[in-house]
This record gives sequence, structure tokens and C-alpha cells, in this order.
Amino acid sequence: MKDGLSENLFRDCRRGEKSAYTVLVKRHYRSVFAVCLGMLGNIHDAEDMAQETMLKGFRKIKNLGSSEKFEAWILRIARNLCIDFLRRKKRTREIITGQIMEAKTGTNENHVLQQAIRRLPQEFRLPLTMFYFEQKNAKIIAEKMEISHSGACQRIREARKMLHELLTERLEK
Amino acid sequence: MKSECEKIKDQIADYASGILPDAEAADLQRHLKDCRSCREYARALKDEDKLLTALFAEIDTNMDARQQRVLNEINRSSQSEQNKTIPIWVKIMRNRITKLAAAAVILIGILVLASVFVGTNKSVALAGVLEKVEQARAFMYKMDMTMTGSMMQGGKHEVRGTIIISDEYGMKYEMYTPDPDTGEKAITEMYILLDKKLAISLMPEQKKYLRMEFDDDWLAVVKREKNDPRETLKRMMDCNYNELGRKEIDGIKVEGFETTDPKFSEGLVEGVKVTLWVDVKTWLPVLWEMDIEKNKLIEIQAVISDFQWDIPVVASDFEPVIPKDYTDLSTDGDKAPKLSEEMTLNKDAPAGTDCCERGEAYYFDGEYDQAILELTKAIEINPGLARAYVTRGITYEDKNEHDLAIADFTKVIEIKPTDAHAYVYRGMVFKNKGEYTLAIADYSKAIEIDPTISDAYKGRASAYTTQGEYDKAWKDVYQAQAMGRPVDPKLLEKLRKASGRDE
Repeated sequence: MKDGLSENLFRDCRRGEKSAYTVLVKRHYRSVFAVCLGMLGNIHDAEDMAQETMLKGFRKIKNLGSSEKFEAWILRIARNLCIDFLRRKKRTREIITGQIMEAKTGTNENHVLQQAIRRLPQEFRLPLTMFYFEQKNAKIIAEKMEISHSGACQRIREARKMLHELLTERLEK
Repeated sequence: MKSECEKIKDQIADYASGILPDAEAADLQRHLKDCRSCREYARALKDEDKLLTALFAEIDTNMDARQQRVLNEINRSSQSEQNKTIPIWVKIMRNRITKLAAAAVILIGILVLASVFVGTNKSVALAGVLEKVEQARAFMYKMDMTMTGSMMQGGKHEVRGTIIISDEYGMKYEMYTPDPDTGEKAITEMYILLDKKLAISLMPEQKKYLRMEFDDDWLAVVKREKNDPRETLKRMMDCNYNELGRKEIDGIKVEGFETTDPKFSEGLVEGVKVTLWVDVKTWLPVLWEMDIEKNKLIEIQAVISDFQWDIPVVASDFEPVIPKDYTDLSTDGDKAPKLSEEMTLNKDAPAGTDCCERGEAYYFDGEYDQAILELTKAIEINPGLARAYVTRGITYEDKNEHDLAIADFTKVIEIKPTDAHAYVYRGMVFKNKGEYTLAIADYSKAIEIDPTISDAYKGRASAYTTQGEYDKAWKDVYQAQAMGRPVDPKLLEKLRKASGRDE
């Protein structure tokens, strides 16, 4: 997958050129959102943080080295912002129970599934979420998470098994 | 067989996710044929796979709308970017209502501006402090702050305050300023109620109050600039710091840490010195001193002390009581302003102020050429705007353009002939340029107008030293020292050597 910024695009972005950055947003927003959703488990927060990430990317792109890949860089920003967000949230003990992964037309079945995903530890929720956002391509998510292919597969596997446990535990209840 | 099935479960999970290598698929199929429980497991996981695929596809359907919102936001921000965002504390400074009320906010804001903290493990000791501090759901401290510099029009501001921060309710500031008659005078009581997105400021002297709604933009700024000492602590952890060892403060054994790492302020200010003393028993801060400086624009010295941790707070502590005879400031004129508007509201600001502040902001960010452009624009709009000449002069001087700097400070003196600081600036430039006689003349003029500016004595001492007028130089050194302002050790060393005196 080609991710290297073309020279022109890169130069324009560094100059704060909005139209150039727009191209990047269009290219990478979905991935950024997927990372945020995976980290936070909540659509509303993920939207906020994905926006924050893209804005921060816009402000900071002049610091991006020319050899560095934009995608890896922006996803790292997303992860760090989410970590910071979670830390803050933990501190303010803000527990949002109502809006967990709420898709607008969420059915009951979806609701149970969303709850279960939310209960997954973040290290498994993130690869699982990204996996389903990336047309179930483990190789791509390995790249995006900057881990090995086998590492990515392993996490997806564990996530699936754990999710199944959580879902059946619910049913038994 | 069980452990075999456990292993098979891994394969099933991969199979159900579509990531099982083909080579293993055949084996798995064979096992599934014979093993009912695994077959059921596989079916369940396949079903879940379908549900997951459907769920994420559904979440994905709103993606375009989300992306569009982000693009709009970037559009907006880049427009204001082109206009240079004026840091919130610059706005606070220029606003007479918020200036002192928000002093505490500025102090902390100035230190923690901008980007997100990324923790490191290198500072174990401070991490322990942070952990203790984070456990406190509500705490209180006192602050004494002195602000000087050219941004503080009218010279020096002293503010004292008590601040309560609660995770649950928000923040409350009570600010005082010294008063020659009564000892101290209440300036304001300010509440920042995060959940209600409301800031309320009571001004007893004017018998007025102001209710300001934050909008999300302002909240985002607050979040970014993180006005919380806990964030300051995190920032400090990320810097190089020295351990100062132990001593006693008011009978409490404390351990000290000090940083002068410019990283602490993200390079925003040049001179920064932060000292923190923590109780060795509880690992909670006892005394916190900060001294920060940005060129001659602003210098803030602050002492934060009298911490009380984990104090009980109730909702009513954060419910402002507005006396009946107080009038709503916003009814004086306009509709109730939003806080962000209030910040930019600038009814009595002279023309060109906006450009001037953008210029100052550029200067703070080290973007000198942009700063000069904006400041020149400000001067074109309002040729009488001394403040713009001051900042442009400082900027030129930082670029080693002495003559242009001198021209700007001369203009300031023309506009405000009794502005002692303008003479100090011009003296400094003359000195840097090697025109010592002219430098001495300017410093002397400054001292004549206002004998309390220690920088004038220090500058003149340096100029006298170069001129070989050691007696006069020593006299100025003593004077500066008597004012409690340390003299640059390099100058002292030079003077000692040159004069052959060891004082």
C-alpha cells in the first residue's frame, strides 16, 4: 500500500496548506477513527479523539520528518491522545454507561455485542476493531499497529475467544 | 483430548476470522467432523463473525459525515491559524475584567501550553508524587504571584489567591490584591464549573458579576492548555531536574526538586525555574515556586503553598452566591457574552490591537518575520500604538537588527516620553551595539523617571564596567542587589577582574 507522501503534497502540508491536508484526512480518517474506537470503545469519544488527532496532525505536520510515514505518525498521535484521554477520564471518574458503542440504529443483539466488545481489554479491543474496519486483513492492521503479522493474528485470535466467552457468559446469565 | 481441543479452538478462532492458513484448514475440517463440541464452537464463532462484520459495517456508514465534520473543523482552524491564534493568556492579559481573575489560570496555563504530555519512566520519585496527588479528589492551595514586564501595562501586578480544585465540581478561585489602606482587596471570586460549561465571576469592588458560558472551543483550549497543577507536575516529570536533597519547612521534612529545563515550558519562555518541595512522609507537595520570564515581555514569580489535600467539598461550595445588589455586567450593554467572545471582546482596546497581539503571539513562538509583519500592520492601522513598537523593537533586537530596534524604542519614547521601560529597552540595544555612552544615558534617564526598575541598574552596571567606571558600576550592582534582584554572575566576575576588587 502506498503511503509515502508525494513531495508536493508534503511540502504543501508543511506550509499549512489546508487543501493538501484535506487529501490526507480523506485518505486516513477511517483508520484514525478505527484506532480511536478500538482504544476507547465508545463511538462518541472516538469521534472526538479522531477529530482532535487530525487537528493536531494539521498543526504538527511541519515537525514530521520527510522520510517518516504519515499514516504511522498520525496513528501514533491517535493512540497517544486516546491514552491521555483515558487517563483524564479515569481521573474524573467519568463513567459513561449510556452511550457504549451506540450505533444509531442499534438492535438489541448489537447492544449485547457492543457491551461485550467494550468489556474486552483495550489491547484486544483495538486489534479486533481495526481488523473489522480493515476488511479483515491482518497484514494491514499489523502494519498500522506497528507489530508483526503473527502478533496481530494472535491478538485477533485471543480477542475472538475472549469475546465469545463474554457473550456466552451473558447468555448463561 | 481436551488440550487438543484447546489448540483446535485457536484454529477455530482464526478460521472464523478468515485468517487461518489454508494448510491448516484441512486438518481442522477433519477434526470438526468428529468433534461435536468443536463444531458448535466453530458455528458460534462464525455467527459472531457475521454479527461483528455487520456491526462495524453499520458504524462505518456514518464515516463520510464524520470525516466531513473533521474537514470543516480543520477549515475553521486553518482560517484562524492564518490569523494566528492568540494564546488565551494574552487575551486574558488584555481584558481588564478577566486579567486578575484569571491570573491563576494564566500562571499554570503558561507553563503547560500546547501538546500532550507523554510520560516517561525516568523520574521515579516524581511519579510517586503524581500518584499521590492524583488520588486527591479535591484540594486547595494558596498562591502569591507577582507579574512584571512590558505586557503588564502599568508596571507590576501582585495577586494573592486561594484555589480549590475538585474533580467533581470544577475550580474556584478567590483572588486578592494588596491594598495600601485595607491590607488587601478582594478582586474577584471566580468559578469554573466544567459540567455546566459555565464560568461565573463576582467582582465585589464593582458590585458586578459576570456569567460566561464556555463554548466547546474554549473548553478545548482549556483542555489543551490544561490548567491544573497536576498537569504541571507531569510536565516537570518529563524534564531534566535536580534533586535538592532534604530540609525542613515549618517543621515538615521535605525533599526538593528543581528544573530549569526549557522543555518545561515547551520553549515558550526562556527563563524558567521551578522548585518543588514535597513532604517525605506523604509525598505530597508542600511548596512550589516558579519563576518564569519571556524576554522583557513578562516575568512571573509565583509561590504556591498551604496545600490541603483531599479536603471535603460539597456541591454548595461550587454554587456561587450572588448578592442581590450585584448587577449583571452583561446587562450593561450586550447580551450575555460567551467566554470565548468575552476574551476577544475588546471594546476599549485601541485600533490595531488585534494585529499587535497576533504579532506578540508570533514573537512568542519564535516566528520573528511573521511577528514583524503583523506588528507593522498594527502600526499602519494605529501609528500611536506604543505596544506594537515595543514588541517589534524587541523582535528586531532578537534578530540583531540594532538600528531598527533603536528606531522603534525611540518612537515609543516619542509617544510616551515618561515610559521608563522604553529607555531601558533602548539602553539595552545601545549596549548590545557597543554604544556605551548612549546606553548609560538611557539607563540613567530610566532611573530618573522610575528608580525601581532593577534592570536599569543592572544594564548600567554592565555599561559602566565596559567603560572602566568601576566605582559607578559597583554602586549600581549594590543597588540592584538591594532590590532583591540577582546580578548576572558573569557580569560580577568581569567586574571583579576588571576593577581588581573582590566584593
